[in-house]
Amino acid sequence: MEINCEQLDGNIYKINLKGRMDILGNEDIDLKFSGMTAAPRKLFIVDLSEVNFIASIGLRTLLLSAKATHNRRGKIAILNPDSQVKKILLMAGIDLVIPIIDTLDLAIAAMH
Amino acid sequence: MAIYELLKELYFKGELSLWESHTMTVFVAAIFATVAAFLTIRLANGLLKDSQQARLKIASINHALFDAVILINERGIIETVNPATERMFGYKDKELIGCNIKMLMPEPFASEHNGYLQQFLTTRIPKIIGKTRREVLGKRANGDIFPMDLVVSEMINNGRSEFIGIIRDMTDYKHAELEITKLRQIEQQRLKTMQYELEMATRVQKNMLPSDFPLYPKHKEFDVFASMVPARQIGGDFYDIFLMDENKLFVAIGDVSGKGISAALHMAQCMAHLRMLSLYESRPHKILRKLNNLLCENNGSGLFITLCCGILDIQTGEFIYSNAGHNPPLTNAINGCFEFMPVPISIVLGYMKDVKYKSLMVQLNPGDTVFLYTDGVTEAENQQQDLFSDERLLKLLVTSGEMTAQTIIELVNAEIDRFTEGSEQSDDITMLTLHYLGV
Repeated sequence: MEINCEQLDGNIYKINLKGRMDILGNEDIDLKFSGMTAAPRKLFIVDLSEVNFIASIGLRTLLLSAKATHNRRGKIAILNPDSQVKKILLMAGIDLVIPIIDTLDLAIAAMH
Repeated sequence: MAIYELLKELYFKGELSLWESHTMTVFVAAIFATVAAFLTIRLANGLLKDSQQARLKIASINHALFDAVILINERGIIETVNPATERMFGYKDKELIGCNIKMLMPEPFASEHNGYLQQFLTTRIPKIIGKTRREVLGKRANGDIFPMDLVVSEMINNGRSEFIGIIRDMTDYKHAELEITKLRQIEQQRLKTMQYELEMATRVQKNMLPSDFPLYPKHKEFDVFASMVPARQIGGDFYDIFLMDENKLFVAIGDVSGKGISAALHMAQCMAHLRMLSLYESRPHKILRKLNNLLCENNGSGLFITLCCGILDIQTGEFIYSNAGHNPPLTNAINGCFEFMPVPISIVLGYMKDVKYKSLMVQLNPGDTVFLYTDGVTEAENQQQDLFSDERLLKLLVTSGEMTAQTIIELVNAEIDRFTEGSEQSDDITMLTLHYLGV
């Protein structure tokens, strides 16, 4: 799995994930993801448009960072997952704690 | 000389007297001899110089060597030693030269050495001469016996045998070797202990899941079966089935995030909480709410659990259920053929406190089935990384026909095996079937 981070205007960090978020894929990006979403950063958009599969281990990574972010009164959103991944996210109730947003503009708007 | 004769003949054309001819021959021969001698002496001096230079070079190498180099004659008497020998054995060279080499050996080797030498000289069968290094014991001046690494070669000098021994002191190496062996043994022991503990843990974990089917043979109103096949030895999936009272059957299926021992511990904790909560709470959504709050306490390790649980009223066939982030179960109770059950969407357990869960109800009639499973079923992969998928599971159940709780699960397991074609199992595969038979 691949990961990179870009900084947008207004201190918003966009984290781009690519590949399969299964046990092995998660291992590749776990630590980096934690690093990229660490304090003092507060606003995150996690771009899942290039993730083609997510297992429970991947959900855990997302939930952990969401929990930490919310504890710091930050905001986190998921951007544009594909239909299969979205289904898994919805089933786990992730959208109840991390909004799932279709476009980047709306995601940026959600950060304010 | 024949050429000389020919030249003499040609030049003087036979005009020389015998005396003149002979004298000339003597002079020429003398000149030749002188020149030849001169050249030979010069060559010899050159060779001698080369030989001396070579000797000096060898001597300086010998002198500088870290290893001990000892030269002995065929009677075992030490002829030369290098400074390393002095250092290694703790003698001065004059204490060694002229003595028998056996003074540097401990018993019984010292007494046997002369015999070995004799044997070699007579039979010419090399035991250690010219062969690869040998580990032997040496004796220092202070009596210390130490391990050494020895190579011996033979030289023939003026028809007599001489032997060169090159010796390395192995004391330090031996110590290091011993340490390594010790460490290795400790590692092995640790590994064995860990493996044993892991096996014990697996057994304990397996025993936690009810598996003594049929669980309630006296109850003809329902037929329930479940199976959990872990991906590795220790899994994170679990299920539970128990009678809350004579009229209510509790079923649950869950999946702890993560793998290995920590997942197993969380799973055990969750099951214990679940059983305890069901003693005084009979509404599934309330059970989940309380369970969630319990799990959120001390949840530093980011433990999340998906869970689906339900309570069957044996008399009426009402099945009330709730869900926390888990895969929706399947039933044929709603429209006569299998479909996914509607589930109240809620966040996984352990994420945050005071989450509100909801319960839904489905009416089971005699012959209806509820099928619960974990994502290990639908996310089982084949070699091409295709997923077993919800659709395939649904299709399988729809075409399953009249089956018992056990045979449905066996059917799905077999189909997963077939589909994955021996690919390594990446997640626990867990299923629970509740078949309602009515009163």
